[in-house]
Amino acid sequence: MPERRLVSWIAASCVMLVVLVAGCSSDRSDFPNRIQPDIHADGTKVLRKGNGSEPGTLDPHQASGVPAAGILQDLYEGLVITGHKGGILPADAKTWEISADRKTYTFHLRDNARWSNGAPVTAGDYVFSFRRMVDPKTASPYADIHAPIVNATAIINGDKTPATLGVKALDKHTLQIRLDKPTPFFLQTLAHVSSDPVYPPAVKKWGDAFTQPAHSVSNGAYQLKQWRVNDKIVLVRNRQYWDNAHTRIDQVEYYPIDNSKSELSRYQAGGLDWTYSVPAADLDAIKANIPKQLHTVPTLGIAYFGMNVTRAPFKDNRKLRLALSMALNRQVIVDKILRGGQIPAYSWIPTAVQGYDSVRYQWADWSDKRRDAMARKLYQEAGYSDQHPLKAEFLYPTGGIGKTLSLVAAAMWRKVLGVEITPRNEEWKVFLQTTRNQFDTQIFWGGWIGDYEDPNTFFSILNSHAALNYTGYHSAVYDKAQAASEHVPNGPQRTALMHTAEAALLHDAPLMPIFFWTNHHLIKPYVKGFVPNPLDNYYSKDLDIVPAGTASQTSPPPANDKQENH
Amino acid sequence: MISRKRDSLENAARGNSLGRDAWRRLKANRAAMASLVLLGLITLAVVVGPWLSPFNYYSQDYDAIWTAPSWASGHFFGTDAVGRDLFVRTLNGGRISLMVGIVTTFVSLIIGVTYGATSGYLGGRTDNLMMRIVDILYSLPFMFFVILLVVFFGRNLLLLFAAIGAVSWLDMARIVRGQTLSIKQQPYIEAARMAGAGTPGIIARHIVPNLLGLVVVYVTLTIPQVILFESFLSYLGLGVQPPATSWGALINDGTSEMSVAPWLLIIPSIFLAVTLFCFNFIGDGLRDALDPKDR
Amino acid sequence: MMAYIVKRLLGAIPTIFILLTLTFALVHLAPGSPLDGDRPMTPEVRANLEAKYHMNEPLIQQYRRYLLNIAHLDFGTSFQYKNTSVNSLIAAGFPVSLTLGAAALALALALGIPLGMLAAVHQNHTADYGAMGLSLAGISVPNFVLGPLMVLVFAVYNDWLPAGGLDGWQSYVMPVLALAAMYVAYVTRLMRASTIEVLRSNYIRTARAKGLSGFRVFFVHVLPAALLPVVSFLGPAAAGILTGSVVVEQIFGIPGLGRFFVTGALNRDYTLVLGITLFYGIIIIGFNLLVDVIYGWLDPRVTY
Repeated sequence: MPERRLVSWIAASCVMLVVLVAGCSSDRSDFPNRIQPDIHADGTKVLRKGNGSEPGTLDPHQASGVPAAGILQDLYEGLVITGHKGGILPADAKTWEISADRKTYTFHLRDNARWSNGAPVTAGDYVFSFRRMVDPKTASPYADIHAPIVNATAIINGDKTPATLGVKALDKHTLQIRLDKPTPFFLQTLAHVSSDPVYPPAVKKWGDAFTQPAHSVSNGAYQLKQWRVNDKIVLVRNRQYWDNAHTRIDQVEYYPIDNSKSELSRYQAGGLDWTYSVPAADLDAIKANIPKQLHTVPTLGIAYFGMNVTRAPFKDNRKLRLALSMALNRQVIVDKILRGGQIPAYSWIPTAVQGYDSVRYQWADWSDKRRDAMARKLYQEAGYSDQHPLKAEFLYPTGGIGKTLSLVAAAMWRKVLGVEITPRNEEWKVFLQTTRNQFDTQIFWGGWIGDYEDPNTFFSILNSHAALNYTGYHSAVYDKAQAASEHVPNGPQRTALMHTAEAALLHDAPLMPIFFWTNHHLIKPYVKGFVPNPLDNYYSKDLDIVPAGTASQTSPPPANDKQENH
Repeated sequence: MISRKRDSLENAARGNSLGRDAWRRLKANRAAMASLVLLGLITLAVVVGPWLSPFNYYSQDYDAIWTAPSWASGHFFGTDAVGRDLFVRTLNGGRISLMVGIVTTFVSLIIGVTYGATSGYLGGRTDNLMMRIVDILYSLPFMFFVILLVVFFGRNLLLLFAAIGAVSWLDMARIVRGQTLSIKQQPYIEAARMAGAGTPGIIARHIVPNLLGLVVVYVTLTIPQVILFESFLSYLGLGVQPPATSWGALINDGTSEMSVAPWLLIIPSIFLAVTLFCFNFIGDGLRDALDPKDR
Repeated sequence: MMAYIVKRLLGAIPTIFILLTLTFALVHLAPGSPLDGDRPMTPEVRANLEAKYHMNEPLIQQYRRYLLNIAHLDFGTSFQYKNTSVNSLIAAGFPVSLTLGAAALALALALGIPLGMLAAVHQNHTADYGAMGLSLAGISVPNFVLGPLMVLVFAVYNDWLPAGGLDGWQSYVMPVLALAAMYVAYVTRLMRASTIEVLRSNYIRTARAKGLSGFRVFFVHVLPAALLPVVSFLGPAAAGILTGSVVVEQIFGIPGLGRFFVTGALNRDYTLVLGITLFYGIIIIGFNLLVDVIYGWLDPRVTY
């Protein structure tokens, strides 16, 4: 009776449908979200944070990427840290003086700054660390941030020895740093994790393995207890930390979860207190159900499409580049596609950067119709038409938002201009090689996240000498203004230089800014002390876990908050 | 012994009518026939369907994002995160999934059966050598192999077939070889050899027909495997190049949007599942129909 | 038998050598360098790193060096996890993958073999359809769908199991189920097909005709013969489960070897990929040998 096999078919279909429907169609208003702070019986408070991907290393001088930086900030503390509103706060250095020519910085370290093994943090430790940082043997990806220091560039290039670096210990607790030229954002670069000190005896004894939990000695609010690759990294309170009295959370666990959907599930199930990101598709449900736990942080990040100006069709064709840029409806991209509160970008410097007003494209405020008409006009002037449409390739890396955006852009360009785009996706490592070493691109997806809070972190990468300039953009006006702006004190003169650079960039249009990044975090209501900041930088020592109903401990702002930077 | 020999001679003599007999038996199996019809309908739909719809698989409509399936809007299966019509995308994805599944499985079937049967039948040193080669290929980091291929030769469907086919025949070869080892001990093989049949003839006429049941079952398992494997490649960004799509890629995307737009997961899943069911029933039906012992 | 095993083990040496050579060549032919990161580096830094990893030497010399290190069982330092040896990464990841894989395989066999036999014995009856329907469902739901759905049901809507991570045996329940689902289906179908085949064969008919009890015939004659295709399938299945656990490891945040391998490949982590490949190669070769020995034990007609 073969027809009875149909019964099994139907049975199996039912099983599948039930599974699918059970998973999908559960009442939308029912949004489980367990509120279970992890507080041990002995009162130990544990903060469990999603942390994106697994950091490659926890050596502050070799690490790169946001996941590593988050952990390193808890482990190590540099001379200064960033404050809530993006300012600079004293950390290991209690005070400092800047010479009249703004080229010599003298830092006075705290007497009570200690390593986790009880040894004092000395100026000598900093000298050792800065030299290690710029030493080509260390191969730090961020060495170039420290270029302002005397001889740093020569050392990075292997022309001088690390001992010639302009960093000197005047005495046990006094550190002097000399700069080649005045650099208005120098303190900001000192807040970067690559400026953190490492414990010299541990590095000398263990070499690169000093980052392992058994060998790790750190000077931040926490110390490394356990590191299980791809599982979790556990930090515990560093009792030797100078401000240990104000640390509230005893243990911080970082979970590398690269899939934001999995991360959301773990958050809802009560296994995480803090997420690294939020899946875009679930934003609406989250806003409807737990709006107070969703935190949207505009950050120092820009998403752009670069155009290779060294090759056809974009070489020497400014009008074509501008036409493509204008034909993109950024408002639609932000409101309809991304839906995460991103800001449409018509300039190069993110709005989140404090103290700088960008030059903007004037067509930013035009109606869609007028802008599209102008784009078509430029497109035709550039020598293209419906009969001879532009055919170009759009390169984007695997994973992330590049895929969606390349498709959206292709659809918009097709609709407004009739451009025929071939999206091409390459695996990340290959993408890097294609964009960087071979310049084998036409249009490519690009993103940049600032390293420190100053417009220069964005301007410097488009200098024609910069290794991060993948468009091949080369403008004498831009280069000159950008280089000059690095050494002029903050003020009208510097702003004018930066405006010159930005205006040149927008006019030449080697790239099209798309949107300024926003990050999203879900944070349980019992986690207190979160204040969003544009670097999306949070120190666990500033946070607390206070279950609902328990009396909030008097939680004064951290002691160092009182000395907002000059 | 004598009767066995006659048996095998009869088998050999009836070889020509084997196909007709099998077809007759298959026709009697209603589940298999129903599956065949349904599979035919799905194939027809994926081939013709996209032309009948007013939408295409790449056009986006930002005013119709995540619209639920409805007759009124013309989006029978709803739309996705950028407002593309899921009906057309599902059918277009089906073209690719079916093509990948069938072509690749066919490639792996041909290579695997020939290789496995030869290895198992010849035995000894040859078998050892051939199986060592399979072992080596097994132990290769397959993903690397695929990445290399895709990167060196660009991204196209033929390459995808080649990459998946190059690996999936290994399972087939091993299983066939294992079965051949025991079949070749059967007295009728000995008899055929004594009757003067050559090695290729024995493999083709005696070994392979006796393997068919197992092979067909395995093929019905390989097609879904290949279709799923294609989606795994898509998941790594090495599969079909967007905006083109496949069922695997659609389901993969649907999983991440299931809380907002469950149809993006459910509809491609149903298409995939029904297709896999059909292959399974046809496979079972074929097995019964081809089984020479079931006379 | 002993001689056979020794012969196979000796034969494995050139296999491993070829595997190593091929992988080494493939890895170094692949475009993209392990040194490329988010940030470009100066030529000086690059030269230093290349010297550190001996990448400035001719390939043949790198190869010789690698072989020498392998001979000392030293897989080198990972590129991606900068200060960690590949040996320690494998030592950390393999037990997890092994637990996951062994449990999934055991579950697949424990469910698949009885289900397949049941279906075969009751061919074309309700039990057959039930078993086959279940196995069909297993094949038809990809594990990247099954995984998140299970998480929703068992971890999010109900607080029965952890949603991810590795915290005690509970953490293994969903990953094992997700990983085993497809293999239960395979084993059931293979078992059903082969049991039906064996039941119809002449020697079983003879055994029955000789008056042996059905029970005895089944367990002494039918079962070992019917298990053969399943045993054949074990080799590929074990390899597939080990490498295929990548998706499951990703969904449930489990720190297994599969995830290392994928991230290693994507990051061009030469040493990690080579190390894991070689490790897998040895395991697969060993497992295949084991399978062949079991095969011979089950089927006395097989000669070596």
